Amino acid sequence: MALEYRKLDTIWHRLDPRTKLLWGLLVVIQLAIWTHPLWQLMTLAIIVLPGIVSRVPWRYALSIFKYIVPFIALVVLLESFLYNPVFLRIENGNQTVFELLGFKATLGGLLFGVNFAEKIFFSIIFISILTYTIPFTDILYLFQKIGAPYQLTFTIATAWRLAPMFRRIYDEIVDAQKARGWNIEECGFFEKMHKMIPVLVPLYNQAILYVEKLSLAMESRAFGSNKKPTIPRKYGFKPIDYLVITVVLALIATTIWLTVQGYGVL
Amino acid sequence: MLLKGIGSGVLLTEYAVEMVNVSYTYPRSTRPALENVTLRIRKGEIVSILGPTGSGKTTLAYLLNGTIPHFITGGKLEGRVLVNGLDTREHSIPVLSQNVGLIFDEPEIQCLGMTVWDSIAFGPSNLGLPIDEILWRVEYALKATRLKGYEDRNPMLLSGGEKQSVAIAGALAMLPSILVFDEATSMLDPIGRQLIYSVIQELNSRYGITAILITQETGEALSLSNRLVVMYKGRIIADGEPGEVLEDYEKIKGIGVKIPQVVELFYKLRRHRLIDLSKIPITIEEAASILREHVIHRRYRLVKQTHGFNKAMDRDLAVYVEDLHYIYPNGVHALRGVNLEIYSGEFIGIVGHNGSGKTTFAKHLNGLLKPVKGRVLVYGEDTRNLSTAILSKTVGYVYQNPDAMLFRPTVEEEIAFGPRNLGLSNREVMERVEYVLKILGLEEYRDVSPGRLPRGLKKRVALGAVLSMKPRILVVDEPTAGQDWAESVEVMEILKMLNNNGVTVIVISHDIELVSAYVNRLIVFSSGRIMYDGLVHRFFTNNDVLKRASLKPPQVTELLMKLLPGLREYPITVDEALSLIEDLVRGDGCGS
Repeated sequence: MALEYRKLDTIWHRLDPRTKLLWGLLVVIQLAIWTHPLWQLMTLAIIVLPGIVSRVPWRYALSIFKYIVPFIALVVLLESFLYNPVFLRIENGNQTVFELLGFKATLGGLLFGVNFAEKIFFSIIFISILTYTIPFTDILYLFQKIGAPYQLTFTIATAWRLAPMFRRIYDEIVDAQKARGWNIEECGFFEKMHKMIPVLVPLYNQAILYVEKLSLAMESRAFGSNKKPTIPRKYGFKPIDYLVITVVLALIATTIWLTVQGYGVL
Repeated sequence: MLLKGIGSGVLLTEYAVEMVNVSYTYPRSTRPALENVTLRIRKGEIVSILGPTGSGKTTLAYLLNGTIPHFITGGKLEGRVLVNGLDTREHSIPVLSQNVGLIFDEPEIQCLGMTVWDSIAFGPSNLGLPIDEILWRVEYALKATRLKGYEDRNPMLLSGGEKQSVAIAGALAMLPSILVFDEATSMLDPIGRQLIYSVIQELNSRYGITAILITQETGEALSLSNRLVVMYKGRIIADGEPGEVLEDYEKIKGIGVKIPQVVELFYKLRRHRLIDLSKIPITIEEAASILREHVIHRRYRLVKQTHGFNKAMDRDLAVYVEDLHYIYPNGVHALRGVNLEIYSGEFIGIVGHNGSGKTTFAKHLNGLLKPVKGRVLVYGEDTRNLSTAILSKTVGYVYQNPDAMLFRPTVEEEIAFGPRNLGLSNREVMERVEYVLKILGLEEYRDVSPGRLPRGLKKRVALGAVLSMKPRILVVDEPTAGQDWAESVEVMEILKMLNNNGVTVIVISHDIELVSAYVNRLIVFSSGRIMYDGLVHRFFTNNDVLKRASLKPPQVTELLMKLLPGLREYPITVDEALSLIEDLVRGDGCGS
């Protein structure tokens, strides 16, 4: 399954999850404040390096690209024509790079659009590497450790866990009603809404039943009996963590300094 | 070996469970679900609790772990319930959960973490235990349920049996000394069931866990149990050693409880004076040893052939499947070259373990899935060219879970929904509704909301909702799932009646024992391919296919396979087995 944690014994996997999250902070900062497409390639290098070290299955991790490439390409094209380069610091932002049906695509607009595309693509790679190398539970435990309410983290985990199950129930109901001649394919929007009742009513009933059983299962495992449940993980920094943390902190500081100096920004 | 720490707060008492004069009435109900129940279970016992739907079994389970009265509140509870000496009224569920673990039928809901390890650690973490204690408990639970090596796996991606093992491990990590299994194997295929029963046996013999099995699968459960309790209408009507309790065969069967085939066979052998026994055997091994001693005293040759099956070549070809392949969007190659012909009027059973491809195949018959390669013709029409809505006129598909399709305010409207979708006139719709209500015996429920009906009736309504579309082919997915024995037999009898009226019936099921007793052709799926297609009675002669399909034959078939290896056909039902043994005793069909 895509975005599923894969347990491997690599240097990156052996790092403390907090170290990996700090790396995540560096990536988020760079993605947020750098707007120049060439500078943003450095972010790509920072993202990809742990991916290579942790042997991420690139084919699966990047499989979502095929669905979004047409959409992102369209956005880049539109930005090339529509984005107003006066907001940019580069001098030749207004320079026309090509024309289409009488509309002019500017260099500034094109660079802005390309950076937008980079931010989307790099974020996907970043999230894939994060989820392939840190168990989702660990991320939630870390949030819990820094003070997020247990009920909140548990709710997120449960929603994440049960979403595929509800999807399966939904599909089953749709199939069951289709088998009774139910068909909404040729209906207009409002008719479609009305015709969804045969699916929504059983889905609601099933959801209620599942939630009741889920509550019973949670209660039977003493959920809520202790105000401070134990986080069942032993976290600890090793020398390699200290080394990575030092490098990442230095990179964060450098990124901010360079940006203040005007580098990396269009 | 009883682990130190198991059953926290255990008081010195010889009983794991002590219920004295317990009655319970649910809120907004006038009839008690349990009535004056007294039950004492000693530590280390394995007790099976049987009874038809509505007999109070689940209520009893809820009373043991404190769900009643702490989670389901507002009901009327009388009498005393003690677990390990603790009064369930006076102790909270978290305290009681360290004494009694409850495992129910939906394993996915009970896996409360994103990994197997986290699911197991969930309970101890909630108790706020020190981390080393949690690590130790998870390790114990993993080992006891044979889940070592699965720690980092996502429970949702495991097989049904493995998921249920995770649920058991989650309960075990609370260190209870009593485990209550409420229909815990009802959703599992034979492989999953086998796994869970072997885990229960080990938990009992190795760790001294008291196990209470609330189940409909009498054969496997009773072979583990040293005690059987039978419930009916909220009362305990029998309690004792399984063999003794089942001596009262007529009474137990009369209330709708499934009697293990071996028990039924020996009861009938004794009644026909073919065997003289003081005690009826429970397990196949016991039965085989008795029969070997009393009956199989000389060499045999093939017993007469009593069963015939011919592909009805002179009938219409209802379904023609050629080199059918199907690959799901996630890449799972679910069907790998299926070839098949189904003729009008056949009664077919499709069996196979979970993921074998049987449901994927069935969904091709009404066009819910279209072939990736190959073709499916229904009465000569390629399903690729027809929508499910069009095909639903010819192929009816009844889903396993009736709650997935019932949504109308009355039974009558529910049954009318399908015909209305076909665009029929109101008169025609009502004629069909009346016909279906009549043949399914649902007339008195026509104005009742389907959601308020008991499970067995809901299943009948779901069947009616499809039958009203007058399909020539009826596909029924797991007709017996979630039903008690009497309800299951009732559904199968209805299907038999429909088949006698000319409907081609295709039943997909795990319950090979029940299905085999009705169908005349068995199709076995494994890994997306058909492994066997032919006579039910001959299927069990092929040990290799049986093993590869991970199917367990009916008890009498297994018994006679042990006693008479090499037959060309084996009995499936008790009456067939009885007739064969009768022949053996009287010397017909046996020779040296």
